[in-house]
Amino acid sequence: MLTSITMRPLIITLLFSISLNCLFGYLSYSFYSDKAVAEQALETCKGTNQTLSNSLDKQEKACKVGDGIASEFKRQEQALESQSEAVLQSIDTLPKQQIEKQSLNKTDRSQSETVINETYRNAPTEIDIDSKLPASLVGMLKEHCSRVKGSACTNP
Amino acid sequence: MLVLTPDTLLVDPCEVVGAGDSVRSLAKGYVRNTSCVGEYKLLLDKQRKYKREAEEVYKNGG
Repeated sequence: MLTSITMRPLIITLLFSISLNCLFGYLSYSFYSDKAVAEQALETCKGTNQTLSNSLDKQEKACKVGDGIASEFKRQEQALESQSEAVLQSIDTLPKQQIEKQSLNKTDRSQSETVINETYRNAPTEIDIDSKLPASLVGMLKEHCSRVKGSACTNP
Repeated sequence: MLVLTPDTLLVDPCEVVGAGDSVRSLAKGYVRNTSCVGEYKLLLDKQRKYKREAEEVYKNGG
């Protein structure tokens, strides 16, 4: 009788302790699995961050390459334009040329009239750099220019 | 791998001009148009160069 009275609190305490241990064991296991999941997610994020960082570095390098090449293009384009401007200025300074009609001297009279007339008719009277082109040629060139550009061409 | 050409290399460098109606304007038009062809060729060369170097950057990391 006396032992059952003293044993009861001990048993209750023991059972309480065991249940507490089970509870803490379960909680510990639960937290451990959550921690493992969180660590896994963190590793994934680290990897993604590294990949994005590398991608950004490559993008920046590609941008620098593009900028360098664009500047190089501008420089060389300006050199081309300067050269063509120089040629255009040379064309502007070209004088009009004139070739006078061949004068018929007495020695030429030895040739037949037909030959003389032919020579006189075919000799260029004037070479003028500002002379008009034939209308048919102008039309052809304008048509070609419109075909290339697809709209009205402007005169230089 | 997709390499996009930058906008700075996608501009028209020049335009074709007409022949006009005189020998002088014809000659000047010829000069302008041939130099325009040269500028387009230069632009294409630069675009090819950019593609080559950008592919190198993305393949090897620069």
